[in-house]
Amino acid sequence: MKRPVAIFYFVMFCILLFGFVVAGVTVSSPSLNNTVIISTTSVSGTGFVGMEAATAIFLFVCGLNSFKEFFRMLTQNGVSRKSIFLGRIITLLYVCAGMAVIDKIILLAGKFIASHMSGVNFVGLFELIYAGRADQVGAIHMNIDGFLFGFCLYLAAITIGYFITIAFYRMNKITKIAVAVGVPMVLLNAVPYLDAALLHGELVNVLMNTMSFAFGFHNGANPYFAMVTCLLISAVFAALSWLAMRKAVVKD
Amino acid sequence: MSGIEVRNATKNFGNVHALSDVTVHFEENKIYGLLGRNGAGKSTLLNVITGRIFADGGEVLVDGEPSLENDQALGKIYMMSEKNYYPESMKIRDVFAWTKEFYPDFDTAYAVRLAERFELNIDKKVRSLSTGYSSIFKLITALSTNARYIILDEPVLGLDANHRDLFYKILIEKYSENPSTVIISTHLIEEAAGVIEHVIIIKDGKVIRDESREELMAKGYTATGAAGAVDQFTADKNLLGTDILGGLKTAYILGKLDRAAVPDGIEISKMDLQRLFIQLTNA
Repeated sequence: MKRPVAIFYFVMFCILLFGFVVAGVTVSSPSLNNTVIISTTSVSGTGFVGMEAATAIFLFVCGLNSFKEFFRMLTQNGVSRKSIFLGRIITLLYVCAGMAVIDKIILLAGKFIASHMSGVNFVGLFELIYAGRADQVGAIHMNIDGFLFGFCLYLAAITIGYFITIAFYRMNKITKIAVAVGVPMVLLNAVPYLDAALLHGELVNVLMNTMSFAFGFHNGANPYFAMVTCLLISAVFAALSWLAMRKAVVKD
Repeated sequence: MSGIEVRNATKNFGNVHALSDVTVHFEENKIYGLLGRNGAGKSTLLNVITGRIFADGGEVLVDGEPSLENDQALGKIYMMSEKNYYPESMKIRDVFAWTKEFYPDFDTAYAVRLAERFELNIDKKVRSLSTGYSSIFKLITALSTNARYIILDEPVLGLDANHRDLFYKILIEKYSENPSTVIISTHLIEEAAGVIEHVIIIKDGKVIRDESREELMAKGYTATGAAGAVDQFTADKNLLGTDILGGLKTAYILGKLDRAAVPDGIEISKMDLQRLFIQLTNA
């Protein structure tokens, strides 16, 4: 996975470089001020917000591409499915930890550069979600929490992707089409419709309350709930991945 | 017990009985010919042995240990199959390097020498190889692993006559210097007959013959002569099949020959392995 990660950070570096150059231009031009470069929420001034979301999406896609080629090659070379799975999990742990560290370094470097540019913000995803926490804990604690949050989030993203690709590998053509079309249809159309028509929006309320609890917003902003949630998600999808993989056969 | 033991292996694909209660034993340091018609179950058997697919029943033991999900057992076997399972974008040189990671006895220098003999450019990517050179790269990799059990499924697929001849020479050289168990599954029976020591014939998912090449070939002979005379001669024999050309009839017989009982006008000759195979699998 070294090459894709290197390409990802090269692209990220180019985007950040471009962004800082544009930010430098906009802050020096009052008419172009208040330009948000990349953001998931409205932030006054010019800035970079929630870049770790890109890493999570990248790792999800990596997870989607982590099975077939490796499974065929490792089976060709006499490696058991058990070893393939364990090796993959260990790799995922290393990659997520490594990328969480790199993202933290990028965040700190970005903050440092932004601090020398008037009106430019560099806000991480963790700070964005748990903004209130900065008032409760020190900077070092925030950074450690931010790293742990990133690691857990990335692990959840990549294990979900890994499970999806193994599940699709095991399916025949008809099942693949049924799942690829059916699952989004059910989740995005059938469930909301039934919820509105029969449950009067109660299901959405329950989901929102569950999400709020899972990510630690039920009583203040507690990121450790989110970390545990992400770790549980990772464990569940890793277990499902093994169940799907242990009977996988080498296909052409 | 050393070797690869397949005990009562059964595999079905829907209504197709690909393997039906197959029991075979591949001993150490022998060259086996695994022969069968298209769809007989050869590749299914080999895929079950290497764990690429799961048998519905039975078990596979490698040197006495169950091979299922057993890295140590599976690490003793290397199978070259018709399909390529290496990443298409990988260079052959890198395939050698990666194979060495999994098979520590892989002889990279030997692999490079073989590549030179076959005129294979190892800086090429796997996807750029022709059918013949794809087979060449796979069989070079297989022969260089120095695995205890090497399985070659259609090793000469797409090879020209020169390269096929070279392959058989290299196989004999390697086997002489460093004996191992080699299992060759091939349709080119006549060519492979010269290197095969032991023959296993599969028909419709069942093993119909499992004996040494010499024993098997000693059991078969042909009787050629006038149709009537041949019919009389073969009346009490195990007749596998017949061919008629003009007034002459050739009968393919399985059994021991009693030369004294051969009447005048009947010519007896040995049946080659391919002819014997055809008659056994047609019957």
